[in-house]
Amino acid sequence: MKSCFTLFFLFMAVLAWPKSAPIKSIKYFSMVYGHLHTSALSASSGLTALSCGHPVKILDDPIQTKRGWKYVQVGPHKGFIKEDYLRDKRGNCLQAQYPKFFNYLDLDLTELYFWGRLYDQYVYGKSQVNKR
Amino acid sequence: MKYIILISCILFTAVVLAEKEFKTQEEKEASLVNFDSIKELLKKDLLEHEVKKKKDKIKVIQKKKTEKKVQRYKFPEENDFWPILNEYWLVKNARILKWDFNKPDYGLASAFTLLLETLGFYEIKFKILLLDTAKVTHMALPTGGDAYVLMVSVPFIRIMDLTKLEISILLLEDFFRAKSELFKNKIKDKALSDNFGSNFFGKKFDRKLLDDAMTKYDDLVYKKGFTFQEQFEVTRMVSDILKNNSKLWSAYNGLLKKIDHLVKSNLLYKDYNKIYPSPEMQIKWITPAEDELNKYN
Repeated sequence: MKSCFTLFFLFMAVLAWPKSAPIKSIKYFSMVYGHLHTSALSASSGLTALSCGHPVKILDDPIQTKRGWKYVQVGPHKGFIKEDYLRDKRGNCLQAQYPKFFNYLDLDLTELYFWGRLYDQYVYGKSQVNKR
Repeated sequence: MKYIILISCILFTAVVLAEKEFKTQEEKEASLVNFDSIKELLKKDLLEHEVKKKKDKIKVIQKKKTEKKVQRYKFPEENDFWPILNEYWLVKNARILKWDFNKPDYGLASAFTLLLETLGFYEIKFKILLLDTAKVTHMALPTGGDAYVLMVSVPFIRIMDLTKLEISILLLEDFFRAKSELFKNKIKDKALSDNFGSNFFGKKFDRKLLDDAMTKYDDLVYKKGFTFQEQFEVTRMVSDILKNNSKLWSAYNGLLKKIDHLVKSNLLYKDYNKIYPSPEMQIKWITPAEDELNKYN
């Protein structure tokens, strides 16, 4: 009887344990540098910095995911990245194509931070034929 | 203390080992066995052919490795170089240009897209960077063929209370400057052109190339700007394309008048004429001559 109670409590504890969002897929960051955001807003603060080709776990969390953004996990951090900045494959990163040239740019931490912020500050657009 | 020393030793060993060049199994074997010293024995055992095969395989592996190493020293191709240099310059000048600030969505992307589509410019990608400074009013950076980078100052558009259409026309002027490669041609010299796509393996990287390009960016954006001739050509280009649409042409005329009034009345923008000479002349260039008007009266 005692062991039955122990098993029951263990079962309940497993059920009550906070569940982490399941991983949907793996994608790769495609901009030169970037940030993992605390919320789905370009102006929101960064949790961690990323460079091109960094793998990102896409979390399946429909409550938190907003349009144009993905709820993701990078290392121990969970946050948001713009969908347009993610690719299915590693692709051609400029740092990987010209690694020594990038070394000579001699960027310090602040500059790396700013380079990541740059993509959040751009207003993107494209004219199209078929729209009109 | 003991543990700290022990951990440091382990870490040091790990770093040293990691820095050592990775060798394939074949290379390791080759470094252990000196085939030349046992030549006679191999001949006797008819294994010479096997040794040759092994040596050839090692040669191929080493050639591939060297090729890979050399590839790492590539100087960017021209189309890759401009986006890198643009962003490098924007990052280095982030504190002066003040582009990292919170702002509302002004709807500029959709307004400029509409203008481009109205004028028949399709499949044009662009990136607008809003600046929170009056030091730089508006400017298009060189494009590498991927997307046009257009900077525009928020204080500049606010002080003149520009409409979305007027801002779009201002961006259109810059788009034409970028399309004509006016900025790019002022930065690109022979030394830089010769280096596009080259390889600096075994040579000293010429850092001066980058520094010179950055200085030229600074000079053009902050001090020198464009010549009268370049301004004349761009103004005529914009005017000609907008002439078919009276609403757009009037907006361009109105925009130039607003800028002209601003640079004449606000000390903060007194240097505008040095960069874009000059709104007053631009108005003259696009206004039809009186005798031409009299012909129709």
